Order: sequence, then structure tokens, then C-alpha cells
Amino acid sequence: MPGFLFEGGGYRHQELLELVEDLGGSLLQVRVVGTEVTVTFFVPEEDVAEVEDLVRDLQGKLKRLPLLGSEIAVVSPTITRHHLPHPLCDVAEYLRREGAKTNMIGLARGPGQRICQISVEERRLIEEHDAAVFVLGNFEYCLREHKWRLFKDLSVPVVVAGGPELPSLPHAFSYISGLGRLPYRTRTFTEIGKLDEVARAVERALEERRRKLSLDPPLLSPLVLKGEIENRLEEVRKCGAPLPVTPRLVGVRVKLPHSRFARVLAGLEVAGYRLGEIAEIRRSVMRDYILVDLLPLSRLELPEKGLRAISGRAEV
Amino acid sequence: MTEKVFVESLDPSYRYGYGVLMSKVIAEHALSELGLGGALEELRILVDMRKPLFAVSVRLGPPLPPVRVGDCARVQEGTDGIHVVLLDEGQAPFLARLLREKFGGSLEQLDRWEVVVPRGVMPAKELEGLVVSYPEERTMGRVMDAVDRIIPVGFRVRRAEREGNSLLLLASENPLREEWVGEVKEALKRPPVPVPPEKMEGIRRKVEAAEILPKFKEGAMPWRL
Repeated sequence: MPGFLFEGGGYRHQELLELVEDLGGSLLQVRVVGTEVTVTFFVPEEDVAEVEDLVRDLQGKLKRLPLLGSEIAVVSPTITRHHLPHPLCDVAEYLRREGAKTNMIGLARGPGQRICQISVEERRLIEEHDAAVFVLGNFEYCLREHKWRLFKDLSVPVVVAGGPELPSLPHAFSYISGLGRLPYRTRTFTEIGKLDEVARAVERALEERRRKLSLDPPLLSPLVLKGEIENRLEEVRKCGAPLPVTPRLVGVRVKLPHSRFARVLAGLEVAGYRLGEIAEIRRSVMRDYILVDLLPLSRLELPEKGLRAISGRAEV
Repeated sequence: MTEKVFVESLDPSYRYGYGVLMSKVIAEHALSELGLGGALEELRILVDMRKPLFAVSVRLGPPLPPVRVGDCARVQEGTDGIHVVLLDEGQAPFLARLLREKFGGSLEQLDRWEVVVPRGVMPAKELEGLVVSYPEERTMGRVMDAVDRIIPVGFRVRRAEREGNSLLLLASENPLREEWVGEVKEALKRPPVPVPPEKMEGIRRKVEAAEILPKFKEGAMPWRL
């Protein structure tokens, strides 16, 4: 389902929300600021024309967000001023405008050649995301010979942005040149074109991942799960974090303390089953959040009375 | 304007590589951000990423004269005392400290920029000649800041040599070998070679020459329906 952003007046915006629900779509976020409304949502591809007609009638703006519903890690070798803020913030902001939820991560020991390394905890944190974008430096020798060690063992697709022109990098899904260590913000069309290239590479990586997931899909969509959690769990609405239930390709991230709410989530009834039976619920490396990874159908067995989880890893 | 920043690769196979040329852009931005353009005569960067070695050599310009009260403030004799009106706000902390040390609690501050020195404590002419700050001392700190911004962050093994008005800083992530130091000093004896302008094409940002990609032209935004 393609994702969209609606921007327009508050007047009659309820009609859009109702239409999205009627079409079997999913609302991600509704933000009302004064008289302006911003809505992010998904609708089935075949019904996009109907939404367009309504938006035209409401005189609002509609923008397609190809990365909506994904969580992307934007990684830098350090958090020093050599690598931050210019290229990293620009990449993260551009991906955000394309619909992704981005988290910026600075490695503790990422710089250098022989000395560059990534810790197990950092790797686990990056692997919680759907894809990662590494923004590296300007020297061809470093990129070719050393930097691939940072993302070699990652299980998520990695898009690398660096300075020199290279056809590809080992262990990277895609390499985008011209975005290495920059001492200025990207402002010209050529530079923004490079950011666009990064976004398109991430889009391709997510498509590839979605295609693999579709071979053995989970029982229900993460968007449906997000709606169920928001409707059932009162505390989610009181949580101050932005997007308290963040959708990912394989599940959701719930921004509530694991110690208090993991058991509650596991017992939550979704589509006729306990969530602990159809998903793996674990503690996130990011703060004390909860990660809910929906199990693929191959890891579930169908008993007479419904589905039962065969995974022993679910924390319930 | 004469060129002040020069980059050279000690590795002949990577003479005009992207990283080498980009170091020049980064150095120029660092100097511009820190307002050091006038304080330096020459800055040379020598790079060999295969060793790995990164060297920065700085030659400072002629020492700047000390800033006096008359240079940064207007001094006027009035009926109630000598009025000192600050004109250069950058000198405010130094001037405030100087006046406080010299005249203590007898000063009267009228507003943010103006203080009154009591009558008869010091002649206005003498007050104008008092030294507020020595820019030379602060320049060195800013030069070190600029050099730190230019050198890659992973290169933490460093060796600094200062001689007269020049500074040489070598950095690597491995222990620095004596032959590397000799090689850098040998290279510095040769006159700097400017990078040919055609090599900087596509490296240095050119806003005027920026071409509008077809997909960014008006009415051709693929993400908008």
C-alpha cells in the first residue's frame, strides 16, 4: 500500500479520515495545529484516485511518501563536528520528508582505518531498523579497504554515502558518491539530487526486503497491529514520545517501558490470538522500548482452534 | 586574492584524488568560519592515506598589534568623568576586565555599551592608550582549532613542531615513524604547487553553475500527484 501525506485545512478533514478507513487503508498520524491538519496514511493502490478526488475537493495538498512505515538508521562514524551535523542531518531530514522515521546513530569507535570498529550493542541497535544509511568520508582507500568492516555483519540492507566516485562497495546494498565529509549544508540542486539518490536507494532496499518478507508473510500487517495496540492500550495515548507506536516492516516499536508493559502486550488479543503467540516481544536496545516482531507464518502452526506459536523465543 | 591553502598527496598514485582535493575545501571553510583568512600566510596539507599520514603545515602572518582602548571604544571627556563608549563588541569582555582592574568600584555603567570613569583618576589620552587585548595570543588557539577540524578525526597520534611563526602538525592512527617526518619535511622544502583549477571542477561547490535536474523543474515533481 502506498503512503501519503495530506496537508490542508481542518474543515472537512474528517471526510478524508473516514474515506481512508472505508477504503481499508490505515491512518498513521493525524496532527491538528490550529486550523491546519497534517495526516499521514496508507491506502490501497487501486483506490488512490478516489483519495485524489477528495483532496482536490478539499483544496489540500497530497504528497506521496515512498518510505512511509519504515524506520531507518542514519549512521555516522562519530558524533564529532567532522561528521556532524551537515551531511548526516541532511540525509536524515530528506528521508524524513520521504516518510521514513529516522534515528541518527553515532558510533563510539567508527573513525579511522585499522582502528574502526562497531560494537555488538551498536550492531543490535542498527539491526532493529529496516535499513541503515552509513554516511562515511572522502578517501577512496579508506572506503575500499577498511570501512566495509563497519557494516559487514549487519543483517539489514545498508546504503553507503561517501565522497569519491566508486562503482560499489563490498557488503553494501548501494553506494552513493558525492556525499562524504562536507563542511556545508546541501543547498544546490545537484547536492539535493544526491540526497534524492540516497532516498531512492533506500526505497529499493526496502522493496527488496518487502519482496523477501512476502514469500513468508506474518499473520497480520504491522499497520493493523499498530492500530490494535493504539486502540487497546490506554498508556500509549498518554506517552509523550513522538509516534509512540512506530511501524516497521516486520513489526512495531512500542515506546513504553519493557519492564512494565511487555507482559501486557503479550497478553493483548489481536485478530483472535494472543500477541505473544504470533509475535516475538523483546527489549529494544534503544532506551527501554519494546520491539514487537511479527512471526512469519512458517514459524506458526495451525491447530484446530487457530494458530499457536511454536517459537520458544517469545518473552511472555 | 592569492591562494593560501595548498594540498599535496605524498602518494603519487592518488595525486588529485577526491579526498585530497576535498581536504582543501574543508580547510578553506575552516579558515573562513574561524575568521583566520588574514592571520595565515600559507597552509599546506600533505596526505598519504596508505601509511596513513596527514600533515598540516601553517605559516602565520606578521604579528597583529595589540588592541588599545582607542581602537575599540570612543573616549569622551564629560562633566561627570570620562565616558568610554564600546564600539567593537568582540572586545567587550577584555575591556570590561581592564576597566574593572584599573578603576574597580568607582566605575559607573550607564548602559550596555557605556561606562563613566570618575574625573581625575586618569587623563583621557592615557586611558585611550591602555592595551585591551593581544590578538596574537588568541590567534594561535584558533589556528589549532582550524587544524583540528581539518585532520581526520581518527588520526589521534599527533606530533607538533613549532618554529618561529610556523607550525607543523603530523597525525596518524599508527605510531609516527621518523622516516615519515623526514618525508614530510622534505616535501615542505619544495615550493607549494597549486591544484589546477580544472581538477577542482565538481569538487568545489559552484552555485551559479548548478544545473536544475529535470525532475526538479517546475511542474515536474514526481512525488506530487
